[in-house]
Amino acid sequence: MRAKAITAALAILLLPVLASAAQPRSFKKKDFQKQYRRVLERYAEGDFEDAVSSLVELESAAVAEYGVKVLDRMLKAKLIVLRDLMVDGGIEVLAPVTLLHEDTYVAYLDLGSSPLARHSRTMTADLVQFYAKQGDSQESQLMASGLMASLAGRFQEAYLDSAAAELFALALDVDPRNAAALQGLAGLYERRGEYDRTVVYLEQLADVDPLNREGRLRLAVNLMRVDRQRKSGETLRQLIDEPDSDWILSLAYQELARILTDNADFTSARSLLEEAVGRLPRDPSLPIQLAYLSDREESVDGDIDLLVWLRRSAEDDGESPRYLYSQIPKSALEDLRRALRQERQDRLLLLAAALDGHAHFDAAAEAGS
Amino acid sequence: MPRSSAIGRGLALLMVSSVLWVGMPQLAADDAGKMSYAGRPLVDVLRDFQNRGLRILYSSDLVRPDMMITKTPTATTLHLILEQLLAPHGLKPEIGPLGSVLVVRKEVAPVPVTIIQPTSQQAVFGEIEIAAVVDTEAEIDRVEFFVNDRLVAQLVHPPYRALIDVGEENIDRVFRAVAYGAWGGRGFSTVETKPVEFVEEVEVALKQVYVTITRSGNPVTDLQPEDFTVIDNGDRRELVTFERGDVPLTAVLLVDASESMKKGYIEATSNGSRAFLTRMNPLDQAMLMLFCDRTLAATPFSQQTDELLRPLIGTPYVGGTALNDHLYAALKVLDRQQGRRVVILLSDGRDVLSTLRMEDVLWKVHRSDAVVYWIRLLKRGRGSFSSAWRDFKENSREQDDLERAVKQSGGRIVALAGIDEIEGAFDDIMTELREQYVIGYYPVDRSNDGRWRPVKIKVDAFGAKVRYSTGYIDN
Repeated sequence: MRAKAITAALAILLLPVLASAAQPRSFKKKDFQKQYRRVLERYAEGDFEDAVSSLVELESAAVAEYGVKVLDRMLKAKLIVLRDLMVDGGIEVLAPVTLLHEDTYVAYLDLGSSPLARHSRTMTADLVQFYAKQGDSQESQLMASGLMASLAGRFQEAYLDSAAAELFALALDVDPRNAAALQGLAGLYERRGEYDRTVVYLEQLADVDPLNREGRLRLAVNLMRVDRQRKSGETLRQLIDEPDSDWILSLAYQELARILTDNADFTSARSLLEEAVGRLPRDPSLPIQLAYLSDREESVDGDIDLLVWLRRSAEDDGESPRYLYSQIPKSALEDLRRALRQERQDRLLLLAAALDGHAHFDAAAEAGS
Repeated sequence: MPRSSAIGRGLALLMVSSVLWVGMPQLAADDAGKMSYAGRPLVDVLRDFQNRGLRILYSSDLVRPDMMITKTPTATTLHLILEQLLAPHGLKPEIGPLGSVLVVRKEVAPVPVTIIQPTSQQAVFGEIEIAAVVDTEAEIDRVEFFVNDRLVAQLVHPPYRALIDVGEENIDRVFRAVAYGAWGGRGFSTVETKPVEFVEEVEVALKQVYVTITRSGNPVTDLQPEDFTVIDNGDRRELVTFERGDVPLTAVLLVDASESMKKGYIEATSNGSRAFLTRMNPLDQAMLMLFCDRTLAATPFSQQTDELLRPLIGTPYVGGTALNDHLYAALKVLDRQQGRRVVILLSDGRDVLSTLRMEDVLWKVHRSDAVVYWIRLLKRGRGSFSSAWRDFKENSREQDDLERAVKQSGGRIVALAGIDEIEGAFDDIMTELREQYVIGYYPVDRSNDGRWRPVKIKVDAFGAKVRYSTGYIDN
């Protein structure tokens, strides 16, 4: 019964592909499907990188031989293989396959292959949404939400903001506590200057993932932008009071000092920045902020020889905290991807079994013919 | 004396001297030319000559044992050698009776030296420049500067300029320059400066304004003090100082090396910077600050072009841009420098990652007398962008504020169509700085209230375009 439902759903997915025009040269579908199954076998065996490069090789060779019009037929061929596997292994075999295609999409981006990247992106998005609709257990729903957020993160990294926002939102529909989706959406709205919406998502993130320092820093920065300075200051102070010495700490100091300076509380700002320089002696921005504070204070005693500080900080070649903040927020996404890789293990066994069953079937079919 | 005997004496002298001076080169070529003079007492050398048969007569009052020879003569005939040995001590050789050579006192022409800076009109405090000119083609040994009889500088090569610290006391000061000729003679010049007179403890600080005047794009360089009218906070003020061109400058070359810069840009910047630095005067100095979202390099202030440009070799284009922070830093490090202060910024002007806002930098510009030039590397508009730190509107405001900061500092934006124009832009800026007028006046009714005091400068020159810092904060 379940296999039939899957087949029907896949048929719907295949409709536009089935309607596509015939190719000028004959695409050897059986050969392609056979090789695609080998790719899946490698993946199921844990040779992830090898599987990705084999798939890239297979698809690139097909496009080289038949041109880009083969992409639709290639998609159809792959979906038929997957449909057959799902008949044996169930919907869960689709989860690791989705990850395979997501990794392949990233590989195409790295290679600069636009048509194949688009093809891979579309297929992954279709698979993940199909998986989300068909998976009826809570575990499947969580997995589906994670897969969608992971792929949305890839879109965000490629500056496909609309597609990313759509997929993040779908991920949240399936799992409203998906931290990566909350952080991803917040990041998208922050870059667009929609700070009220940004705060909404970041507050939810702080509830879901209270240990996420990056999320709390971003919340504090955005609270300041929507004139909630007191709450912002409290959040920054909490970050400062934690023992970590990372770029988040530097920005917490900088932003809290900014609030104090804007409020003309120069004494507190100075003591805070001096504490910051003590904890982060090679930070590039703190001395500049301290020098500015001295100017605002009209302080001769507290003035620093900025040139000495600049020359010292020039000896470091790390990325600045403000640069790291300006990048797409990834902490929750990285946690998610690690979790997805772990969740993949059980499903790889299902995939391997399904592939094995089909191999027997294929062998029997070949023997019968 | 009868004419015939005068002629007879002249002939006798001529004969004796020709015998003497014709005979002497033999000695000079064989012995004197090989002698080492420098570091020996003069009297020893004269005795050597006497031992070689030259009849040199001198008084021990004139040739004292402490007279040392500091320079080996460059002459090749003995007469000239003797002249050069004796001249630094105010002495000269003269033909004496019976073929002898007399050492006599030389009447030495004084060395014409004049102090040109400071002037007697000036009130001087802290670190200042002292300068003198020596108006002679004769070789000069050195020029010494004294302030209230204390030696403060000694220079052996022109230009005779030095930065000295005279302290912060509001007192009379006597500046004295003593120039010594290489072969004797010396001259003096003295300038007395007066303290600033205080009335009811009102602090009066000289306000200097740098004024660039052009007509049809060309500098106007022939204006006199009476051609200028200064209005400070609504009050017309008298000019106290007036200079042009050669006021020493201290420059920060502030170079954006972020990822957004184009290929070939650093090389073009290096060429442009070199063109600028090689046109610096001896008292000018500069530093190079290279930045992205952090400081990549910051040299000390120097006049050494190669040392200043070294950080540009092999510089990668990395990271984002923290323009505001580094423009502020440039202004801040200039606070500790003397003279005319200039920042030359090379950037597309798209700050993304600064801790400071451009309004903070504008705040600093209003309190600094540095002039900011911006060599802008995008001619076609500014583009519009957003980031995690600022949205479109805020970024747009940042760029407006940057333009405002440049203009209000008295500088200008040099918009370039391509990187091949960078070198020319640097050259134009240096030309402009060399042609700039520096005028000084005393503002009245300063209240140190932190308010903006507008400055307006009118120039009596038809069709001229005048650019200057349009005001300052009163504090």
